[in-house]
Amino acid sequence: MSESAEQQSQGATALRLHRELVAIWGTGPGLERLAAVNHSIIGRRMMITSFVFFAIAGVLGMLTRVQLATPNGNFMDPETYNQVFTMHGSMMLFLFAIPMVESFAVYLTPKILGTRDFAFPRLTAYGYWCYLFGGTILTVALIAGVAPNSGWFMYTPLSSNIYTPGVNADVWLLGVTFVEISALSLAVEIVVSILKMRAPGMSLDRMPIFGWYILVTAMMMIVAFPPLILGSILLEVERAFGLPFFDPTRGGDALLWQHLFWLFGHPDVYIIFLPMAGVLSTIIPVFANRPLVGYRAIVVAIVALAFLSFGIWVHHMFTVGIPHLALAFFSLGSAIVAVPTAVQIFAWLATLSHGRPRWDVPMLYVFGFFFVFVMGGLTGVMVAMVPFDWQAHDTYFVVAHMHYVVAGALAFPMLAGFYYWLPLLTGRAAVHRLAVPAFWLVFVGFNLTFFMMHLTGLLGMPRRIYTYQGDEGWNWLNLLSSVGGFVMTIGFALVVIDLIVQLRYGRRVRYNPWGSATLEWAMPLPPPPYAFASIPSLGPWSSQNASGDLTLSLARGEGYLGFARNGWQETLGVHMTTGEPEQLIVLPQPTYLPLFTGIATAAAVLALLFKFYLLSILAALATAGLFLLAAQRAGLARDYGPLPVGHGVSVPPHTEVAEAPAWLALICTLVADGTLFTSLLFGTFYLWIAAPNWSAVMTPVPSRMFVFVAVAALAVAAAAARGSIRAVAAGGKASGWMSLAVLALLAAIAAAVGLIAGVLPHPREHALGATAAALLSYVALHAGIGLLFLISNLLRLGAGFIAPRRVLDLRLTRLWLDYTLVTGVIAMGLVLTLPALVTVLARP
Amino acid sequence: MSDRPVPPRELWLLAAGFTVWCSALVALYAIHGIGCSFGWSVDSLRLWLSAALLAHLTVLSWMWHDITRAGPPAGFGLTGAFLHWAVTATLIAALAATVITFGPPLLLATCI
Amino acid sequence: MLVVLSGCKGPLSTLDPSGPAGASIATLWWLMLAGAAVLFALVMVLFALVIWRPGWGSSVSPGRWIVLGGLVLPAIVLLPLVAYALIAGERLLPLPGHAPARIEAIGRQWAWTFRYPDQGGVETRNVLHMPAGAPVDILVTSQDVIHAFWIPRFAGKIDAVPGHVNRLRIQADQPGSYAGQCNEFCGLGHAGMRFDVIVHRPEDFSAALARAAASGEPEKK
Repeated sequence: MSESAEQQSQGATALRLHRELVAIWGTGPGLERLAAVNHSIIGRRMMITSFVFFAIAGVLGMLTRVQLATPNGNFMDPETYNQVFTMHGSMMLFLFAIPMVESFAVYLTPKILGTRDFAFPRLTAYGYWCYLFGGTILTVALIAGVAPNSGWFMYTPLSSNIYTPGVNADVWLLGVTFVEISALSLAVEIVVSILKMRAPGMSLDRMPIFGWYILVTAMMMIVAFPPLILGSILLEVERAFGLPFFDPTRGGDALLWQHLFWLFGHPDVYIIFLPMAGVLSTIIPVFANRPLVGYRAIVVAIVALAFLSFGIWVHHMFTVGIPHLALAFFSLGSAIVAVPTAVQIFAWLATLSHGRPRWDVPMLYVFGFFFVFVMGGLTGVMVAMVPFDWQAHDTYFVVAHMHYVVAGALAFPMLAGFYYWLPLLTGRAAVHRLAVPAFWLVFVGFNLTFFMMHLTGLLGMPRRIYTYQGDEGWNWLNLLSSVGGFVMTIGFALVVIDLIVQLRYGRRVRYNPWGSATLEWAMPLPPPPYAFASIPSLGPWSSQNASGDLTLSLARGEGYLGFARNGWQETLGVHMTTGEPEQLIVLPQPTYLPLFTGIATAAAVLALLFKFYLLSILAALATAGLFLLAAQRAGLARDYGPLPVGHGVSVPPHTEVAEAPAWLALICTLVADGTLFTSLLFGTFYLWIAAPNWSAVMTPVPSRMFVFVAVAALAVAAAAARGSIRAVAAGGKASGWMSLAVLALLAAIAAAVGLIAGVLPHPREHALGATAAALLSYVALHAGIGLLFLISNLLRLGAGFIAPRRVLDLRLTRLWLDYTLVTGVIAMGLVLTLPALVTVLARP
Repeated sequence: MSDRPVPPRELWLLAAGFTVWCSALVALYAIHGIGCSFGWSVDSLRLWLSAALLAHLTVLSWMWHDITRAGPPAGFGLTGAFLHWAVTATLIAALAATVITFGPPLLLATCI
Repeated sequence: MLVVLSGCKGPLSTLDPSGPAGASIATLWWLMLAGAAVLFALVMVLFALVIWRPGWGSSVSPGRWIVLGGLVLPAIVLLPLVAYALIAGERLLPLPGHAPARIEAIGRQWAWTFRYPDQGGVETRNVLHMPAGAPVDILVTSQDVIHAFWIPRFAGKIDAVPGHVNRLRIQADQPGSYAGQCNEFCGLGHAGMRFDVIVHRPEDFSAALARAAASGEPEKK
């Protein structure tokens, strides 16, 4: 049988297109892999790295179980035990859970949304390197015996330098902040990419539900991480320089840390859950052979869950002495947060009910999810009831609840997702039946380990004790949990073996083994670096269909951008709500710059850790320089006008449109920054209202002249930025305006520094001074970053990147300076007025 | 495409209802904290809390009424209809959440 | 049932209460356990049915599945539960107007000091003396890091936060020997930071306390 001539020529077309695109999108071999910026490569790397940290953290958990299996255990001394359990929690949550869900988002989102990559590939790579280096710092500290030892949530004053003098706590504060900043930058990128980079025709109501889950999750990250970053900065400053944010003897409050931490910590668990719920919402319809039930209801549920999760953090603090009325707000909120979750659970059940379910390994893990997560959710409602929590708080009951919800929300769906997407990741499908016994070992082992902990906690066993006496009635329960832990570990080991076996010996598959409708299957398996040879579109009446026909059609270049042009990495930007093609996005190619920037950032962090402050400043400047360098290489150096992208459509490149990705990215970054600023304001007010030792503090007024100069200078800078845009748009010169802005910012920084130098009470003596110094430093820092923006603008002006139709750079600067002005006015207003308020409205 | 493009503003409206819920939490928690710290009388504190809650419920009710009265915007097609439904649903959910989360606690002892 | 209950006994057991607060919370627990068991069984049975009986439940429209399971069911369960819990919580508060006896509990790494202002300001270490049958307000604070004061068989716990004084109202039903512990991770000695609780008959309390304070009971390990 011979192929028809037409089929042969079509095959040749596809092959030629493939070769051209690989030449443009491919990453080189060997050391050049360190220059990768491609989302498939980075996503896979993140998954593997997360798994390694999961294994290490799992071993740490097993060590605690060995210690606790019998009373009066002396397998580990208290100091070692404290490091082990702190690192178990910290690594699991910061180095495994968040990065793992982000790796799913990174690998899958562009493919499911029908685009070729994310908006800022170099940022994806930088995020990965920061994660790897931050995690390495923490791991090395563990090996060196100086790991953090104050618990994964690091309550003050225990974690202050009086009670934890060594470098352990600093490792946590700096290492975790490093990792969180990387996660935050990925989150910004994900939001921008989901909003602007989708297949043409993919309006919001036709976006696969996975896109909604990841969009909302990334938005949550933008608002959830800053309070933790702020808290970590404040605590590190307290430890290193003695500013008493959390010291009750000098106007600080230990509870401020708890508020800042849990403001992050509670949304964090929903940030972990939502992407995995997205995995379930994607997988269950495939195995039910019908589309998902309740798409609209689920979108509303996701939004409700996102917001509600930010309003219930105090349920971690029910025993700190807050009045019952206030606790009631958080108890009720914690109860009703079960509603959006229940909506999703019943939507999944309804999908299965109205479909024709089939069974396979992923469904085993879906069953595991239902069993474990529902149980965890029910105990969650229990601890949401204040009187019960007054007994259960900080006991093994909470340990049980926590592991049930995390394993239920993360581990089981993640493994379901791995088995489901393994053909996409590797191009191979399962052949061995090891998966089933492995699942049961994990499932039985997990329940054996953690189910009885509910009782252990109710019998009074507190968290974080390294041993117990043996007369409390906890002995057999702990032994059982420890045995279960070993069973579970064996199970996980078998799962890893099974995945590796399939990787090497699985049956090769070519296309869409599950018959799924989503677009990540409309490509050869494993995916090529460009993902889609041509970009799919959703016509007005077509159903999404990742059939073999669509895959072949795209491979032949019949979608959009089915050609190579100028050696550019091209993809399409669309209108946010309708999905109409709007702009041609040209992406940067592989480069070592993210790696070098990550190394410079790591150097700055390490220098801070070892208190080499001058070196740290130099490394920070080097990092800033590398970011400037990266900015110089972005975009296009001349006007192009509308360019054809296929199907008779022409759109301008992203440098010539108003809503380019970088614009949205800055807005998202400012939302994160604004959250950090708001947290700082909240912290200041909180200390005034609730901290001890504020009634006798002296309250002189800061220099009004400096404040006036600073605010005026910031206003001038913002106005000059506007002037520069008008000048360039009219075809004139902007360098005069930009120089004015530089001078104004320098004046603002000088005034802020002058104010900081004169802060009374001295920042080390009382929190009133410390918070004032923090607010003023915030303004000075932002003015300094404004200078970086202007330097970048001047360089790019000289290189021809800025023109009347390409003013994006100047608009970004203007936005930043506007933000600096607004926050500067608020911060300095507060610094000016708070002392007077404290005196006039003295607390009884 | 014959439908007009739905402005991005409609997407952000999805967040509107629950933003009001968050505002209610901040306002009530702050008023309660300030009132207890500065020794306000029990009746005075309860009055302020109730006023703040009522204000937020009024805003939410007005938003719900406004969007229902306008009906699905014409000419925006399926995307517009979907967003309209979703925004309305989030407003109703936020209203219910505000009533349930913040109503009953106002009946409890104030500062213990 | 007796076997189960005997498995629930222990010196630090919340399921073997010996005070009205502890008893109230234990009742709440048993109610919630029963409810949770029913709900868990319901969801798992539904899952099994939709998987192994294809088409089971398909006569119920998808919208109805979501409304009944996602809205109606939680409302029926959660609203009464939270109301009950809030009322129970109110009853546990140290409401003013009772003037119960006061005892100060001061935590530090890694021992407890108890001061009795109503008994002349005497102090005991690591052993709390109190009278049976009457509410006692414990005023809890810390001299260094955050600890927590907890006598599981009597009541819930309260944190000992430096710079603050938290008030916990507890009551013991019967005279006898009981156990308490620090329940907030406070460093190397956290596991050993326990204290004894000796509950006296009300008429014996003052004399017993005076004897104990004078003799300086040995520090508990």
